[in-house]
Formats: sequence, structure tokens, C-alpha cells
Amino acid sequence: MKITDTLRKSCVRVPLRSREKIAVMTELVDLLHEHGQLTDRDEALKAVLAREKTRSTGIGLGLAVPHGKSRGCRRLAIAVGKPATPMDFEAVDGRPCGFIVLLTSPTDKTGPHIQALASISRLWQHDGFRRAVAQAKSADDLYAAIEQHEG
Amino acid sequence: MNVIVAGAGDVGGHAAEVLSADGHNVTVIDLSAERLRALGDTLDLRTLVGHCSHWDVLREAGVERCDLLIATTQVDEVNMLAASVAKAAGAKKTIVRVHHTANFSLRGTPYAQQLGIDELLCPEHLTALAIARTIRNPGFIALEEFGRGQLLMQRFPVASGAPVVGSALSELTLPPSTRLATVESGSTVTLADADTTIAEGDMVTLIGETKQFEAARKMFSKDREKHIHIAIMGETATAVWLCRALKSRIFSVRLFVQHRDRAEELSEKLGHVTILDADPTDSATFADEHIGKTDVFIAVTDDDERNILACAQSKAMGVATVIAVVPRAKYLHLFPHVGIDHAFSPRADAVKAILHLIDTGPIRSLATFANGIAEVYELRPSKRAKVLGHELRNVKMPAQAMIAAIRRGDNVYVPGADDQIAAGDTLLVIGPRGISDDLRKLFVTK
Repeated sequence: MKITDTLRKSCVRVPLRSREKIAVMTELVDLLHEHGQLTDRDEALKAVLAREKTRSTGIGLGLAVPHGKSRGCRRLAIAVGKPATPMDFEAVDGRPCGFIVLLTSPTDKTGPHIQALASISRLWQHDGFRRAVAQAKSADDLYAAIEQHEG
Repeated sequence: MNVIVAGAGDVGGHAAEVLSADGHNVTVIDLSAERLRALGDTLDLRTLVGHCSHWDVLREAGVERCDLLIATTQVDEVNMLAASVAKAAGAKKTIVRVHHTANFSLRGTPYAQQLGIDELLCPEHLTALAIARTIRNPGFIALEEFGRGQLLMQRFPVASGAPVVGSALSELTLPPSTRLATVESGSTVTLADADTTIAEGDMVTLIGETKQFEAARKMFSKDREKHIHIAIMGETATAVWLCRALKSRIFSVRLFVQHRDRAEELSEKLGHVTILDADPTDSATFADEHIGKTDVFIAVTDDDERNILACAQSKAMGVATVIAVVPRAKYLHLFPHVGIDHAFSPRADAVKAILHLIDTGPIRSLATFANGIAEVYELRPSKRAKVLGHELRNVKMPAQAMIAAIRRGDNVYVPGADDQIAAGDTLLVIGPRGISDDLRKLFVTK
């Protein structure tokens, strides 16, 4: 599946206003909520924070994929952001994160959720994509980078 | 074919789907009317609500004219009983899905026959083997699986100065119960026969009974093998079977489990594996255990999402090959593209195995190896085959084919020229590809 089939341009923010892990996750959930992607903002946020507590979603090379399943949305929703400068996400490799992809899904539809996680992991393994993300100066740049590398 | 599927869960439902699409006449029994409705709505099959181990229910499902019963409920004992009752009532063949290792070990024993069970199926075991096949040569796994721990097969280079260099196979005396299967010289692969000569640098594939193997190996190579380092995450049945399938001196296996008591229990069962109760995706553990330096990382927890993230992370951290098990087979096709090198689904593997079992004739091909030049065949000679009771030296095998192993009851051995084939034996033959018809002429008499 393509990320850009689900991700709306309005749900991409560069740079993020927050500089701290929990604040960034909250900011991205709020971004989804502002654009009508959620039915219950608090439920969605609670699920993302709870998931993050079990284990950091900073999965290496500067990518974090915070995610949660809850009654807070009717279908998979994705928000993407870049902090002003790479930030600590307690990633497994200890590197700061410069690209954050947040996913929320309903509890009963996990297929698209898993596919989206898989797609993001795949994209992130391309050096070219990581470079394009690092160079993106605006939400438009970042969205274009994703669109281009998804092919 | 008339097929009864008992239990409309993951494996049963998927099997019913595949078999009815293949044109078989399928009846599905389940306790849940709702689950049956979901199946019946989309597929052309008959459904029946009830206990699949009950005689009257089975009879209503048409057990007397049933060619195959597949019992796949969540409960092993129910499955075994359903097969027993069905067999007694006239089902021609029964396949039983089991979860527990102890029940699976009934496989091939007289007890299973007395119970009316023809084949035991453990999807977790199948998935473990499928994973192991991507790490090891499939031909080797086929042979070792046939041998149930009593046989080994390995491929390695001939060392300079090894005692065998320059000799023809006819001049060599290998230890008893060991055989040379193939010799690869450059790009040429030869199935070994008496005239085959061995040169330094050739890659040889050796077969033998476990206890004799090392002595034979030393004639070809002094080197110790290069170890392959494998990290497995999960404490599922698949993880346990996988550890067993990777029991070989060339693997150094570490298993990461979540619970301390499970770790202790598994340490007793799996002596050849290092068991740690730690989370390999935790950054401290990842660093301390040097997981980035392992050759293969395999995630087999029962959580798809965790498996994918753990693999993505390991790949990002430099692991060469990462493998995830994802129980939801529906999106399996995505995985080769996600940077996860392989992905497996127990449900899909189980159905593949069922199709394979239905198809079983006296001869089947288990695997190929040596660039597809050599094939491994399993065959059951018919009761009146002419070869029975003759010493193998007098059995004229097809060119370059050899009987690599014989299974008789619980025993598996590598036969010598003086040995004979007995009624009821199962043979493992290694030979060129595509000789099924020649083997059939020799071993299968109508």
C-alpha cells in the first residue's frame, strides 16, 4: 500500500512546534484531529502513548513510528512531521530522530495498520529517501519526497 | 473428492477455501453457526453446525463416502477423536491438526495408526521448517527431516592435503553409514559414482548417520565450519520448532523470550540453544548482545506488528537477513518488498502441506539441491516390488541415483551394499532431476 493513499498533505508538518517526545506525539494527534481524521482525540492519543510506553518506536536510523489502535478513529490515519532539529526519541540505536510518522487505527482493522508500518519501514531503508527527508524544508517538500520514493 | 473439514478456524477455513476452489466437494463442520455463515456466504460448500467428534454429526456430513477428513479445531484431543470416529465410520484418509509437541510426536507411530490418524499436521512446525529452509539448503532439511535426527547432510570444500584428494570414489573407504552425494567442481555438478574423482577445492555434499558423520567429514576437510549466528525472538511453538530445525553444529542460536519461567522451561528442552529472557529490540540488549552482528534475525512472536517492527529495526541496524512470521496470511505477499527478507504464515503453510498430503503417491519429490541438478525423492516400494529381499548391490538403480537412507519403523539408516529393502520401508533416494518414472518402474509394481 502507498502511504500517500492515506496521508493527507494537511497532516504533514515541517517543522514540528514541539521538541519533546510526548509533546510531538500529542502535536501529531492534534493535527489529525484538526483535519477531521479522528472521532475521539483523547482515545487516540491515549493509545499512542500507551503503545510507546511498552517500547520505543524509534526503530533506528532516525525514524520513529509511534502508533496506537483505539476507538478514536474509524479508519487508518497517518500524520507526519519533522522536528526543527533531530530530537531524542529513545531510539534503539540511540540516534536522534528526524522523521516521525504517527499512525492511528481502529482496534478491529489491523490489516492496513500493519501494511502501513511495513511500507514505512521499506521506504526508510533507501538512502535516497532518507536524504530527501533530511533535506525537506517544508511540508510540501516532505510530502513530495514520500510521493516520489513510493514510485 | 469428498472432503470433510472439522473446524472452521484459520487453518480449516483456509483449507476449505482452497479445496472447494479446486473443485472438491467440501463439507465444513463447526460449533459456530456464525463462522460457518461467513464461510458459506462466499464459498460453494456445505456447512453443518455441531460437534465434529460426534458420530451422528459426522454421518450427517457424509463420513461413509468421505475420501478425506481434515480435523482442525483448536483442541488436539477433539481432532484426534474426530479422526478416530471418522476412520471407523469409513473415511479413507484422515489428517489431524495438532498444537502440542507431545501429540505431534505420535507422527509415524503405530499408535497413530491405531487411532485412525493417517497424517499429523502442525502448522507451527511447518512454518519453522519453511524458515529453516531459507537459511539452510532445502535438500539438507528434507533429508534431516526424513531422518528425524538420525541423519546429517552437509556441503563443504575439500581441503588441500585432505586424504581423499586425487582419489576416485571407488578407491576410498568411507566410514560405514556415510555416502558422498555430489561433487561440484567449478560450475560442474556431478552426482557421485564409483568413477568420480575428488580434487582440492571441490565442494562436496556428504550424507551420513549422525554418529559416523564427523569421521567421514575429516577425510575431506580439516577446517571447522564457519558458524552462522542466529537470533530468534519469541516463545511460540514456532520458535521452539525452529530451534529444533536449526540444531546443527554450523549454527549458533540464541532465543530471546519474554518470561523468565518460560526461559527456564525452554533451557531444559533446547540444550543446544542459548536462551535469554530479554527483549532484543531494547537498545541496551541490542547493543550488549551484539544483535547487529548476527547473520540472521527471526521474529516469531504471536504479534505481527512486533515482528515487523523488530525486523525493520534489525535491518536498519545492519543484520544481513531478517525474517518475520505474520500469522495473518492475507497480506503476506507484501513482504518481499518491505525490506523484510522473508515472511511466513503458519496458515498458508498448513494448507500447502494438506495439498501435498492429498497428492501423495508412492513417490514424491522433497527438494532439489546443487543448483537444481540433484533431486531428493521419498518413495514407498509396493508390497510386490521385485527389489524387495535383494541385496542392494544387485539392485540396478537409475544412473547416478542412490538410496541415501531407509526408514524402517522408528529407525533410519544409511544402507550399505549388503542391505536389503523390506516391505513397509520408506526410502530416500538422491539422484538426477526428473527420474520419478524410472524409480516408479523399479519400486512400484501394480
